Amino acid sequence: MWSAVAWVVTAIMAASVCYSVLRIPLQVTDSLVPMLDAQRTSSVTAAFASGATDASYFRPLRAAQIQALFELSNGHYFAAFKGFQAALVVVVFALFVLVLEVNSLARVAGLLFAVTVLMGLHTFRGTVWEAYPVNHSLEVVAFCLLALVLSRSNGGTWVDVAGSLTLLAASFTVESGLLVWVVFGAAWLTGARGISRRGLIVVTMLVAGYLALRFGYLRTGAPALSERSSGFGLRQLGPDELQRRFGAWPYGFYAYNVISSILTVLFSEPRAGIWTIPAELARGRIAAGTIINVVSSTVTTVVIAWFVASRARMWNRLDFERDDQLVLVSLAVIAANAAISYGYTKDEIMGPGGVFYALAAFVAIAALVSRGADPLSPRMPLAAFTLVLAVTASGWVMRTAGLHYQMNLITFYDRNEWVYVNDWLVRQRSAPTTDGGNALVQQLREDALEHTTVNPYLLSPRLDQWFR
Amino acid sequence: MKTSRADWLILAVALPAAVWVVLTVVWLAGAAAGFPRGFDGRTMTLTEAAAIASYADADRLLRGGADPNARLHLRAGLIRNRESTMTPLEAATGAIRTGPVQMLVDHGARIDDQTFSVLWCAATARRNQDMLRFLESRGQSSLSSIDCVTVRPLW
Repeated sequence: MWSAVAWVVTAIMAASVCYSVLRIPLQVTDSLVPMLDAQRTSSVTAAFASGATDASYFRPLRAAQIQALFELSNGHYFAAFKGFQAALVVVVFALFVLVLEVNSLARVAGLLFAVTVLMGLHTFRGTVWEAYPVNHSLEVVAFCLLALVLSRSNGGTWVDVAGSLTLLAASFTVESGLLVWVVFGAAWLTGARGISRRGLIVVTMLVAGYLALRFGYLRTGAPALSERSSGFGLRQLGPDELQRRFGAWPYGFYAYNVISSILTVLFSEPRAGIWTIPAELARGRIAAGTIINVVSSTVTTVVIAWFVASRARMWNRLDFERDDQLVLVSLAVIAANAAISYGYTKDEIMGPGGVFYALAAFVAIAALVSRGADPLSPRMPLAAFTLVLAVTASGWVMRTAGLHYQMNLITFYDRNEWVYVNDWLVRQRSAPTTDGGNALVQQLREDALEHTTVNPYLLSPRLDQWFR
Repeated sequence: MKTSRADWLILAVALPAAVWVVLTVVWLAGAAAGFPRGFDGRTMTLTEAAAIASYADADRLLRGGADPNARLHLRAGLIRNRESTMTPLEAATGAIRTGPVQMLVDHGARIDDQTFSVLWCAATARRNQDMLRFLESRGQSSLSSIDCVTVRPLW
């Protein structure tokens, strides 16, 4: 029965995310140019080859997916690409609940809490909303969760094969797909043997092969400082300033990015490398939404830390229970996700780390409520501690509501971008030169502008103070 | 039956999210039934689109034949606390974001000497720098000759 409750709750939450995702038009930036490229490309194979030989990125499967969906859409671009994105949302939520093994009231409570952490964490917003036009961020999350499900399965030859295919698909889609290997490795080290020793050796060899192919044979570079802006301290630094300040010795900046990425998942500060509390304070006042974010994340992280501390002695003896595996794999994914994001900080690139943080929160909260424990202070009255937990859970619910509010805002801005899309294409030097290209732009523009949407500024212009 | 410590903790953790799940069901069911249309861009007037800087809705309404010079409904809360009527350009002076002013003018919104003064004084009162820059760039009136005390106030 508890499992059924978990699936129903998760299905409702997934449906709400799909609903908000489907209201957002295919965006101009990051979506339109790849679709125009797909229109010019002759086949899926050609797209795969093009994605494999790009100077900066090795993402052949991403290019192939865009091409395949473009060709299969038969002109129904919004339905094809957004339908695929909604399907990915469903897959992520399904894998999430599958991993949690909900079989008691305490674990249902943990699931309710964890789903709001999953949706409410700011890293998820960036992960879920964008269509590039295929959302590879969400794909990596799905691949990582699938890897965890495989690792915790009963194992077998087919599981090993599926593990290798998962790693290949993830790493050929986007660089952060290598996190799949971290999941396999951390799960194996903590006693999850769904992927056998032989299977682990194979996926490790595949990673070595990937690195050799990318850096040795194809000589695909790593992102340079001059490629994009990044948050640092209290503000955003442009590529030129990044180059000027850190070009000679970028390692301090890289360390800042890694630490910022870990902290943003654990404490919701800093955001995209920018410390929002002092930045907002300097502008006059701290937004209520910022306080909600930091407090809810901090209390949740304290509960996770309590769980880690309570199990540390057993872990030193290499004695791991199934829930221990979830927490340890999650911590490994957060750390690895931050490490491979060394080049720059953005909320969305910590998407996998954020989802695994929700898994760790589930374990810690479920353990807390089933034991009736108090990690903050043994002498704290029950009423006070209950209040702290209720406030924290309410904070995550607010943040979950904020996900939908923010996606409505994004819809508003994305629709506006389509109004002057032709000017934008000229500025990007990507204006189509064929009738087909112009027709594609026109069709997508009309789709976006005619799309009905709730306008967040009609709800209230002050809501953004609460949803950060 | 005595409520245990664990029961209280379960309640604290689960209740807010459970309430949210119920609200989500109501929300999705309402959305499927087309509610609430009041927040939908399709119920918006051109004046309201200008007030909230919705270029997409302004574009859609203008292509649908909306009159850029008409005094149209402006719902409460967007600029003023009460409902009112005004032209899209007047509403744009009250917007906190840069509105589709050029688009309105391109579609025939008139800025003559009289409306220029009204817009200038309203934009000054709202400290709408984008609007002030736009009006200044038109060089239509001698700014020094405008006496906002004698001009019809919008705010």
